[in-house]
Amino acid sequence: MAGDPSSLRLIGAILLISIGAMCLFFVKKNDKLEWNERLAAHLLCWTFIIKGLGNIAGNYTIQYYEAGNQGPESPFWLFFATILTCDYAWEMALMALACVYPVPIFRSLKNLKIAYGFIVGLTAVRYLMMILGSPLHTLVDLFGFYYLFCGLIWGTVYFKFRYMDDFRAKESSTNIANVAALLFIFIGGHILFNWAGFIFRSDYFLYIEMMSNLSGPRADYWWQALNVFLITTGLCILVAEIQQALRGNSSPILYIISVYFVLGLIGYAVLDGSGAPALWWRTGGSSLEATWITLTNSMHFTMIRPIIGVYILLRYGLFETSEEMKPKAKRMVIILIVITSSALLELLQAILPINEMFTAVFLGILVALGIGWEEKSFESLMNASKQMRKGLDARWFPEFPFPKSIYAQLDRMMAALILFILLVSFLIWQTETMYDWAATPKDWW
Amino acid sequence: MLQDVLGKDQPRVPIFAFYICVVVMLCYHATSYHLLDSEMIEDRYLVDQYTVTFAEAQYSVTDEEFAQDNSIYIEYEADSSFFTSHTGFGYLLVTVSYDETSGIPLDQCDSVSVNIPPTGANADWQNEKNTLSGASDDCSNIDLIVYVYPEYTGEEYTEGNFDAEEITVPWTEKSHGEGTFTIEIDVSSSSPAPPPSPQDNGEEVTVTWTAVFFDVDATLQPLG
Repeated sequence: MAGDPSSLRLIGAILLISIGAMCLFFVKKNDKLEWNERLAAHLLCWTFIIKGLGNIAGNYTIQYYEAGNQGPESPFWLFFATILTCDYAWEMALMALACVYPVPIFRSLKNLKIAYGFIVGLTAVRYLMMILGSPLHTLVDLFGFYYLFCGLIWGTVYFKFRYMDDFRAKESSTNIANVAALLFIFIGGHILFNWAGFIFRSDYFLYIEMMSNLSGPRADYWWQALNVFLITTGLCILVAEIQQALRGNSSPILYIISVYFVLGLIGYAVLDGSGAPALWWRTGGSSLEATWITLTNSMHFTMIRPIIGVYILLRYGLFETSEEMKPKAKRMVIILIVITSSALLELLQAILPINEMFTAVFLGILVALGIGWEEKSFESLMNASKQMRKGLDARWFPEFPFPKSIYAQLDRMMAALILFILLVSFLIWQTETMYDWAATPKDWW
Repeated sequence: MLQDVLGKDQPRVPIFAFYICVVVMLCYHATSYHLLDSEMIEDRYLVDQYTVTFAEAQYSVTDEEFAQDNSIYIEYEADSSFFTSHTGFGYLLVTVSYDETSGIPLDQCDSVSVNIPPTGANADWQNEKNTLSGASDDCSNIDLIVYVYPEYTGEEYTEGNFDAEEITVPWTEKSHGEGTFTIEIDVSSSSPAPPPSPQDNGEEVTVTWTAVFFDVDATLQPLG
């Protein structure tokens, strides 16, 4: 499989789906969660599953595109439609998540219902427009709006709690700020790599398009503006973390976000003047630019997202952590380590001329080290502070009387949504809706 | 919630600084996008016109077989190195030639019919321009052609696109032409007189396989 980046994309997608399904199992067993944590845990697991499904479709879309197989009857359009339909559900779940986690941003159930009504309504409009043959009409469906919605909420929550002066609430406020920053990196980390391209007005940033040649100038401007918003939020978090570290109050977020910005600076030297946008799907070529994008943007999609997601679930107590469940949870972490290690080596093998025998040996060493590490770090994760409410005013955590059955209903709805996604994508392919839309000039939007 | 976040009981400067940074950066981007770099970005949306040309390379192989009054089959498979050194396999020319070689006085040319069955190799068998069978009874050559790469004609054309790679990639599929081509040859020999006079018992048939590979090139046309 060496030299074939599709295997990496597939491994990453399967990793996301399997982690999502396994985490859902553990989350459902956890009875100790507060209402907003439980809702967040369910939504986070479903985002893994939906994005994994979308990434599988993305992989085959790229393969058909590269083979030049884009005729009206080509499965290219089935997979392309699946990417979009999955993205709509992914955006919906993340916006719903941002409303309640790490702190609920609405003070009454009525307001939360209105917000969820808006999110579901927006998603319904998107599906309707897609079925009617006009997807990605940014002025109406605001594709990518979740970047702004989630970024604004998590950015605000981060700054509010990172700078909170209340000593009694220090532990809780630090945890809330860290979760908000991690969730922000989870959704927008791949965009942070392009920060230098934006600041120095480089072609690889200014050429970024929403959907390659299928999106018009206005859609592309909207998309770039969302990128700018995320980069600015990331820069502000970096500055805040440096400032806090100088005050002797450092957190792991400083190291994590610094890696993104340092790689972004190196990326400027690699990508500037390439005449092509730095997009995650432009991987697989033998050029330095393609290799770099594979190691950064694509790596975020395939490897980093599931790692950040599982870290949040484990570290902040969204998992069932009883003695009975610990061995099962450990098993899941081992699976994560094995898949991540093999995917990492697959990635290296795809871009470097390494002998397969060498990578097999190296995989063995990595897995052995990983499992050794897992024993130690799993315990420290389990024993780390999970406090998010201690010392904080009760007004931050309003109690909404959600019956327990609502979470099972949510799971059923999300499963039904996946079936709906597949059905809509299939119908769009069969009716050639996407093909006809793609053939229409889009100069006006 | 807004009151809690922006309330006066806690430091508000970091949050306001964050919002101001976002607005400033969005303004900076808008200036760059709509004014400073607008020309560069607009050029991105211009559909470039490319001239697509094909440089052909021919590789010939000759097989000679003696065919008696029955069918013979000769096979051909293109060298794998041609696939790696060229963009694609365009078409296959097959020339069947023979001569009256019996040496019998007054012996006329035999009848030869040939046929390439549409199996074995991966080719554009349904192409209307294919000539897959032919016959001769006057020792003239029989020329056949099999189009291998779908829609390939070898002729230059113009295409509008944003990217040269998008034009050339569809011409790089290596599976077209893989496999074994087979030609079936039937010889019906005729003698000038019945036995006991000397009899013509067959012909020496020569099959020349000419594989035409191509290299595609998309050249940007200068703006008019």
